[in-house]
Amino acid sequence: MNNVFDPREYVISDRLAEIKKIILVSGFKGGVGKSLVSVFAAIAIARKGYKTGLLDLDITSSTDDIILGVKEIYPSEDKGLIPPVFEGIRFMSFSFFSMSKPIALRGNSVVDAIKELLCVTLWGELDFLVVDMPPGFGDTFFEVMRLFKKFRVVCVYTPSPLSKKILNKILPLIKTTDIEVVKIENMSKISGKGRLRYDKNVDAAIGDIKRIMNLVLYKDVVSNLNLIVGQKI
Amino acid sequence: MHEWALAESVVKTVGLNKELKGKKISIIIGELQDINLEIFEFALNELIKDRKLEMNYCVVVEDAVFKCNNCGFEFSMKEVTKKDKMEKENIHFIPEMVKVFVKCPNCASVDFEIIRGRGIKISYE
Repeated sequence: MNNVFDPREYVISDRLAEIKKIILVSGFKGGVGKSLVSVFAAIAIARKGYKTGLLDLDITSSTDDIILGVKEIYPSEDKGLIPPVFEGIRFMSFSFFSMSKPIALRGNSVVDAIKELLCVTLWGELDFLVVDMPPGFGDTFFEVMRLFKKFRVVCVYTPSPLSKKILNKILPLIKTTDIEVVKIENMSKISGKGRLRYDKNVDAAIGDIKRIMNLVLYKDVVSNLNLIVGQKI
Repeated sequence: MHEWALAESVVKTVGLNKELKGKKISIIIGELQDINLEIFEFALNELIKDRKLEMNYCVVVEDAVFKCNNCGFEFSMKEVTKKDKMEKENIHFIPEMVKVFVKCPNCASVDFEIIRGRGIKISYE
């Protein structure tokens, strides 16, 4: 076989064409609250009436479905896969396909799985697509940077010096003229711009949207929403 | 019907790559993708007509072969055939999900590579 093309590469830009803004929620260190911030931001954006998508790309440890409390929903098929709508959010996650079982993948398979999902998912028209990124600065991040082309990065960190140091090491590598980057401190001791307070009630609210919306953390995400999405909404 | 999405990716690839124009191309479909070939070829022909493309193609199904990273054992999909409809469906959508539902028949590891027969690709000679 002399010449081989991967046709998935050529159609991904079409699949993303009707999305006005893509927001990658990252932070590069595990346990900083990327998934909570992603899901809470998607809920808050959708409740303002915007067409909102949420994509959980943390393949090996997807949790957005658990935080949202989704049950018995699955993508439908019509010339591609249509993300199911939950609480006004078009939601796509590998957890649908793994039937919530653990997914053990090496880097090359992670890249293939992401390309496959992006190739077949029909998002349609969206104002915002929030993407929950896995921890680390590796395969997923580079593949997403290459395929998405234009996006905003929300870097979540905690007051821990380890979290700050990792973030400050990586930030210069991703800050280019084409990429908007904003830092959000989670588990903060104080409230304010770019700060989300530590909330001991989070665990008890997981899977229950009504309880989530009463959390201090959710309210801080709402008050920082313009900063997260990079525009006044 | 995500066969349409895959057919669309093939047609777009051919439309965008000059080196594929006028060539006989092979559309290789991995066994793991397990697509309905009738729907796929129908979609392909509709899209070719719609986009006024000339495409000389053949479709080849490639058997899946795996190699265990733990013990080195090579095995095929036939040795680990899935009967559960949902599991098959999930592998059909995202072939990597085979690693969720299949283990190495020799050592039961979930750490194996898909050597062949994963998904869709286009080749020409």
